[in-house]
Amino acid sequence: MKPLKTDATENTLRIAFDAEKGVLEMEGVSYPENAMDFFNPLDTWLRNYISEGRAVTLNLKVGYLNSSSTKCLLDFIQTLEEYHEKGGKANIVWYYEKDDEDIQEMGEDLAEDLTLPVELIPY
Amino acid sequence: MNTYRLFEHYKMMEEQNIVLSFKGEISNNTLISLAEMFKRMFAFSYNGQKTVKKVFSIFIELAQNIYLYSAKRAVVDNKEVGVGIIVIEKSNNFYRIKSGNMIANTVIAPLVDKISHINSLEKDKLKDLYNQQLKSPREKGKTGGGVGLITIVRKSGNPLGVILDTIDTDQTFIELSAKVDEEDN
Repeated sequence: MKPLKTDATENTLRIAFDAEKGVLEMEGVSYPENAMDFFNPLDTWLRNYISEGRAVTLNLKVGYLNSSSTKCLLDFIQTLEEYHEKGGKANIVWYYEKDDEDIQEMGEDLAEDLTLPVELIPY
Repeated sequence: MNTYRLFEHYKMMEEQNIVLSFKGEISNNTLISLAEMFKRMFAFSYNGQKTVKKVFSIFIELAQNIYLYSAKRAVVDNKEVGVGIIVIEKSNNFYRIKSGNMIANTVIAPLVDKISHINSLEKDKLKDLYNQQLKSPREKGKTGGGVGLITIVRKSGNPLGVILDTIDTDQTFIELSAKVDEEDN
């Protein structure tokens, strides 16, 4: 499978995947003019990866997401949730800055809504 | 004869406490440049400064609205983008972010209804609607999340203002304005 790696830009996330550990990292801010252009290839990659039945950990460290990026990220997480519901091994680690209530709340809402494990880590 | 005087423009901006303004095509590069300008102007870096982060978020959502929904279109780097105007007003105890662009008259009624509905909701109900919209499937052919306006009102904490200036039987200029009160922090 092709390695997944995207450097951050001013308004898109850094994406890195450690194939050995099965850890997918997303970090930074996201407010591109078209969020779907950015997220669609990621979703395709994820569907491909989980079709092989492997475990995946999603490490998320986001500082700011605009509304369409938020929607795209939740769609992406939903793919992971469906994988987990069907018996796949998936979990999320959600990092948030200590006084960032918005990002903290978003992580808490995810933890509440999802059946897959969500760990919240302030930094 | 050209009667436009820059001094009038300057005076107006001075009187209205406009600290940042842009009129033109909102491409991805423009969006990045505007965000950079905002960050420098307000010494903003995504963390801390709760009020400024709210203003930033609204500023980006409104700029994106222009990009997606303005009826006046342009082509930049082979991509179709929207044309509009966006300004930030900064007073002693509040910020106001305003955007303006052309829209087709046919979309005004549903848009105004949607805004009235969002404006009428209490904080908790607004959050419910936000979560519901985030989870609902996208409308076909729409690239926006459909949650931009809700995000703006949630961040603003005030009703979203709408002013319409009819241009002709096809088009109207729409002004959206969101006020963010300065918090004690």
